[in-house]
Amino acid sequence: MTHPLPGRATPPNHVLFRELNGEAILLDLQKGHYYGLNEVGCDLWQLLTADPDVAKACAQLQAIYQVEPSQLEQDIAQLLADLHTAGLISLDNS
Amino acid sequence: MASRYNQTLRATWATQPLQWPQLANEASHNSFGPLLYDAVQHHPAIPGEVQKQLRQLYLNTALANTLALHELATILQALAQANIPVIVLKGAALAQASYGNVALRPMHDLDLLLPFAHIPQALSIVATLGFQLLEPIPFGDRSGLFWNELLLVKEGHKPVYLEFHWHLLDNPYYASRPGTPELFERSLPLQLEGQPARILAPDDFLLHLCSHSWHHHSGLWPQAGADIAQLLVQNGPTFNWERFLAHAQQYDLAYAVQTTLSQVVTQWHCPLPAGTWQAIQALRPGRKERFFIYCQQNKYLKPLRTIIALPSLRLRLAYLWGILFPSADYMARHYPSPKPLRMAYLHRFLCWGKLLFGD
Repeated sequence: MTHPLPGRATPPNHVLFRELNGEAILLDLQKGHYYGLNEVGCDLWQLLTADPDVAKACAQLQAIYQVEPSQLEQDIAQLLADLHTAGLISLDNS
Repeated sequence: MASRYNQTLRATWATQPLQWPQLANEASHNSFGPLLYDAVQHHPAIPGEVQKQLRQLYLNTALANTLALHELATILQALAQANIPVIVLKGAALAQASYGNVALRPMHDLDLLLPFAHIPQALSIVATLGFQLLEPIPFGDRSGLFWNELLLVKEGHKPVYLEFHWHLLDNPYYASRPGTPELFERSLPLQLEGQPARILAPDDFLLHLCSHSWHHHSGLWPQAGADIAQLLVQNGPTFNWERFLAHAQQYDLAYAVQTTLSQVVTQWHCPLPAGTWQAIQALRPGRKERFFIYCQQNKYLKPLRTIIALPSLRLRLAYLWGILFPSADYMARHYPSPKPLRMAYLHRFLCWGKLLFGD
């Protein structure tokens, strides 16, 4: 199933982010759940923390990793959808 | 530190085949699992199961420490707003500032040093953040001298433990060796989780780790060995050995320093600057420290250390009274089964007798 790329994605206050040598973990303070992020996910989270504009974050990741834009967008849309389902990020499709 | 651990491992591999499961279990038992994972995660020979086991320890440590450090940031901010001076001790200071990766250094609690005069206010502040005292202090007003720490907990998905200390060591003889004001004077500023914080100067930090290991754990406990090695490697040539050695002698911590550092140097292959080892060996334990060493090795004399350390007969009697007959509140927490207070005291004496003299 493909997910549309949301307009904005905002890390909520109840989620802690910790970078660990190239990967990262997210810890949900409300539920006590955690989620692991790989290097790209870690970069995406940091970009969204600075600016929740998803298209901008995609462009910056594209410059870093030099992958096919459509593939990158698809992967990011999937990751954001997973994080949203887990209650780890707020999405705004406007 | 991982590379130092790796060096030690390579030296072992050269002489004997590696038993991965045993190594992982041993590391896990001694709280080195995350450190071992960091060192060997990409090793071609590591079995999948062992890698998975070590990675889980690494992630568990990262999660527990992330939560604890998040609480620490809130505590530091609240105490700073009330102008309460604080020094972050042990794991919380080491995990980020020394190891550079919070997943590498497991910590069981957050240790903070603050002047005793600020303890009541600090307790009220952290109570508003959800931290509750685990047990009352048995000595009331005299706790500043007789006691050195309070344990608090914040319950949640995973409990977070917090310890307030007003001296570095639990023996009253060391209440001013070194004194809290001078530790604050020499302490260093740093940012912890985005909050301004202070940690001990490296030589005070090393003195604390050595003396805590000896006095509290009766020798070098494995995690202290890793911490000391990490501190030495991190500070390298800038470490103030002259001041450290002078304080070790001055504060009657010569033997604690000699014992722990000799083990760290051997076990962790920590190089010391030329002449330092000889200078450490030249330290001479004073009369009082020799007495503590003697008590430490004798289970019957061990409880007497504190009494003997107190400076006057009046204080010794007050301490003894406090130990023999703690407050009703303290007894209720420690001996919760319903019984009259005098029976609880009797029960306490019997427990002590059993501990000292066996069945």
